[in-house]
Amino acid sequence: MTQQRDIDHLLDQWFSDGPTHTPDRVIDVVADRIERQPQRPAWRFHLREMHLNTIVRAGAAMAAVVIVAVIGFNLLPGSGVGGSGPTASPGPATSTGPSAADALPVDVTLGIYSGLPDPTWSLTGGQAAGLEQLLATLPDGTDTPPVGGLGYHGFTIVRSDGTLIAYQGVVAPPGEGPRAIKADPTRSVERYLLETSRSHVTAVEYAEVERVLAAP
Amino acid sequence: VDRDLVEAARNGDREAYVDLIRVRSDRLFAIAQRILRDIDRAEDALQDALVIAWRDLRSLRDPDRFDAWLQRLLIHVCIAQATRERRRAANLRVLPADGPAAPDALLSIADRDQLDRGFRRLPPEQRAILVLHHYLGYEPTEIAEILGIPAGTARSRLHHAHSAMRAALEADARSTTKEGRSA
Repeated sequence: MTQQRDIDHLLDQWFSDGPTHTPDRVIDVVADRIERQPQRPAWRFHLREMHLNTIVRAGAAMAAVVIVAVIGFNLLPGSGVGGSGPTASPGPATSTGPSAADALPVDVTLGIYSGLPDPTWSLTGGQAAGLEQLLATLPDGTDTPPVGGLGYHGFTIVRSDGTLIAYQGVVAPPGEGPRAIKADPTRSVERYLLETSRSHVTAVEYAEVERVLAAP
Repeated sequence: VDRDLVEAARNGDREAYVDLIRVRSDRLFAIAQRILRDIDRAEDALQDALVIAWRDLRSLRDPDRFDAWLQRLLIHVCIAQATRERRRAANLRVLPADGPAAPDALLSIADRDQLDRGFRRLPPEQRAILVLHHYLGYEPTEIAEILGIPAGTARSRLHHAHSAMRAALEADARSTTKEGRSA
């Protein structure tokens, strides 16, 4: 094909085809989302654009190195700290859960789309251990696990011994019928998993879940 | 540019913002669909870009630059989304393009299919450059301004995108021929 026709012409022709009308629902969804989305104040952008002198840059670089070192230390196997988890994460001294070294692979999926693949990531050993510790602190629950609708609809946790769904303060296996249901009224598991998602989801996806979790 | 509407939106007027984006959405959607080659993903990217634009609208200093700013933001969202998709679906089979296949006197279905497969093999940045050049008609200097890169870089990337597209099409043609022989 490329030998017979000029690629420029082919591309011009090809791109001229295709849909040119936005479905109405796109604007409706955006209008709905910006109702809940505040604008960032101008000073934040101006601050970002400010010229940083060499000393400030060096200081910032050193601070970044220290922060990375501290986080890395905390994620080391046996450190007993569950990564950059939420404040509700239990401390190592009180933990009876497995250590990071014992943690088995855990995959997490953020349920946020209906027609697109949801973001999925694997927890590090430290994060998985922190999650186990957190789950161990949850009391038994009696509420029926809610079913998600459009938008954010919970985290799916796939562990070697089964799957759990954390949504709206309830942590339970998927499906119906009798099962071990845990109550999580502060939504600590969801907050914890959101923290682990930082490098796996977009800023918009993160902000959307953060907004939902912050709602009363 | 509707300068008054942009100013009002910058001051937090949501209705003004919706009015602004409503008249621009078709063009933006068409750009997103052509980069992502998928209607659902294009809708998603457009929604994300428009919400981010609302959130960061106060970073826009010159209201007259609203269209270019919004377009640039959308393209970056599309590139990010396409990059994620490539990582996520690296081992998945390529799907046929979405969207109506309008009858075309010059391009056959086979041509379209071949172009689509070749295009999907390109890195997202090269896809965006090709859409900017061939669909929107921008020259490399304009592409450079939109993407925030030097003009020389834009020219170089466009050249590489053409070469990569040509190579992808030729590789596709070779594999099709090979399959035909072995069948």
